[in-house]
Amino acid sequence: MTQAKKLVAPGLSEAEAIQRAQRGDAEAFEGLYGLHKRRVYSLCLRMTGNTAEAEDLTQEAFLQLYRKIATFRGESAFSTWLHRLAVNVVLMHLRKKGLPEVSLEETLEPQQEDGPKKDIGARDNVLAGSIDRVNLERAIESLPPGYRIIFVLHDIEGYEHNEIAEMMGCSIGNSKSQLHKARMKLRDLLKLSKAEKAARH
Amino acid sequence: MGRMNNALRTAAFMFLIAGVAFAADNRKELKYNLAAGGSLTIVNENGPVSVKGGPGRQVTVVATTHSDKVEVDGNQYGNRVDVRTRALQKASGNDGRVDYEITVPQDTSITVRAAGGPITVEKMRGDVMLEGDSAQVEVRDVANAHVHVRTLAGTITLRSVENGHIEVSSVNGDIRLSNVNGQKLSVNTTKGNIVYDGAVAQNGDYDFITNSGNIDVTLPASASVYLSARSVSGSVENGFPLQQTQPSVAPSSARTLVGTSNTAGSAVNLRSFSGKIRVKKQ
Amino acid sequence: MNCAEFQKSLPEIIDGAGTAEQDAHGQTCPVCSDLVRDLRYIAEQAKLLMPMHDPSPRVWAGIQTSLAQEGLVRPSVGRFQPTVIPGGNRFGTYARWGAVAALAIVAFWLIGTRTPGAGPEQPSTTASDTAGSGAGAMDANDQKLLAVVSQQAPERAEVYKRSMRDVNSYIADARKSLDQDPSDDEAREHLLQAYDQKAMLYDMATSGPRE
Repeated sequence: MTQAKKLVAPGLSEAEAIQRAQRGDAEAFEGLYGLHKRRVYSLCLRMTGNTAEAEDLTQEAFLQLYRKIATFRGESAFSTWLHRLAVNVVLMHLRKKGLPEVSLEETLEPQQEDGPKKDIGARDNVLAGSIDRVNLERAIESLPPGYRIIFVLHDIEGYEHNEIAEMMGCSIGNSKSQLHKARMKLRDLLKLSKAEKAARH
Repeated sequence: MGRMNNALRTAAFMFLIAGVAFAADNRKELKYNLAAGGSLTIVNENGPVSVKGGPGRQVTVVATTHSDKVEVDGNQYGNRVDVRTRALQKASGNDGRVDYEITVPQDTSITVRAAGGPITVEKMRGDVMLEGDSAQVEVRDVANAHVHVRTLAGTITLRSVENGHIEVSSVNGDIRLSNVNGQKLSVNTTKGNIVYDGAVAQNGDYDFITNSGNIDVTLPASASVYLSARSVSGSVENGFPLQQTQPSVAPSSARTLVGTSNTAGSAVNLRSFSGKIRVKKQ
Repeated sequence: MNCAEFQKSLPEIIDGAGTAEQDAHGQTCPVCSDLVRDLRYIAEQAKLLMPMHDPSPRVWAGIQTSLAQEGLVRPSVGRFQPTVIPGGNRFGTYARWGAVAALAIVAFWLIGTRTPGAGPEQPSTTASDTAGSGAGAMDANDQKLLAVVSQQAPERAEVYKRSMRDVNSYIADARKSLDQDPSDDEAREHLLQAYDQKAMLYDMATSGPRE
């Protein structure tokens, strides 16, 4: 499976396809699209939570890829480079739309709504073992945009806080704070979902 | 003397027949070596293609032609082998037919275009891409691979495909899947029926879509799915123990089924425009 | 250390950068240890989430249109022909299935290119016996495609003809349903599906082994 993923098509490696695409080979570009479309689209969908926007942004990301692929020098993995490009496309779009609904300048001080205080002295059922993919995806979708973006970038896409801070133009502390709040919010959402499910039976 | 003439005539006739038969059925064997990650393409307009994965690094192509109106052309380009039937003159029916029996290293990626088929592929661990107009296609015992199959009218059968990335599409052909699992399973047809029988991979994403065909899905009780079924103008019957999440959608509930079982680890989407959808327990 | 102090430092603790004092509290306080376990569990599960959905075929069609408008690419003949040259490859075939509009345009153009004279004097498949009427009716492009198939592989013309009719019926059914209720996502999904099937048919007709 691993090997299959590295092939654009039988007999054609991703590296060969990149070289051809850099020379303007439209077929090679199509092959690269086929190989990476799902991950780029999923990234856009998870960051925006909107199918139509995600499709537009996926299109824009691959158009930028086509225009810029000649500048790819292989310092990083191609997928890393492409995903960074896609993240920038999404963030640019969100900036144009207006800032995320949750301010990036919040401090680490716990807040009434999202902070951890509510857990003090109250022991709930733990989540471990109870999360399935569908519920988690739904809960992520329900997060406020600011939380969702950081969570997707850090916990799903694997970016480090310093990279997120650079991309989003915020401090590393803010990135950490937002991520923590996102996880806390997700925990609430998942517990709610679990409680609702239990009530039905 | 007359008797001797007759004997000679008979012998000459037999020789001629044998000669014609020899000329008509010509067996050609081609051998190539492929390193890991190699690929093989077979293009055959008319006739069966059978590909079997095996140990070793050798590709063996046994091609049988039935007339001198066609020839078999094989070439190797680096780690890629390309074998195709070429028509030397207009040939139809048996004259144009070539039968291929091929063994390849298991990790080879194979592409087969055989318009008439049938196409049979087994014991592979590399990517499998098959295409045939009216060809019957059968894939069995394949693992850790992309399996892409498309036909216009031929029935497509997949058996024992493990950890696959599977895309199967046919306009009129039925699609039968048995013990097939993987992260991605996409099955599309216009008029064909879709039959699925077997377990579901964890975190899989399964889509079965048909226009007027029926969809029959049989799952083990242990299947962990988020299942969604809808027929626009057909019907949906459920015999699988699902915890239905939208039981009160009254107007179209007979044609809609949404529910989960166990931890809902995989998404299974069943869509038929006018056909019947039936979900059953093994 | 009390719970409030512990939970103030949760981000660091989750990342495994807690102090000895914090660790000690985490081991003795069930509320805080549950919280840490949950948050770590969420982070672990998130890492396991796979990309789940493919973009609609509209995305690739849009990319192609934009690139063509910018003059960056033009359709090439080679992309739909079986390749035997070294380094050539029929890759992208499957990725192309959904690019309905682009496929139709290119296939139409290709037909004109590959079969000089094909058109008015169509060999065995004529407009009258393929066009038909009703849901499976064929347009001019469909008829040209069938004419090419008939010319190049007469024995396969019938299966293409039947498939074309069925796919066109599918498109008509889905379109009718969508016209009746434009908000019907199911019908829309079926319509896209039907166009995908038609794109596949065009692709198979133009990428076959005929030489």
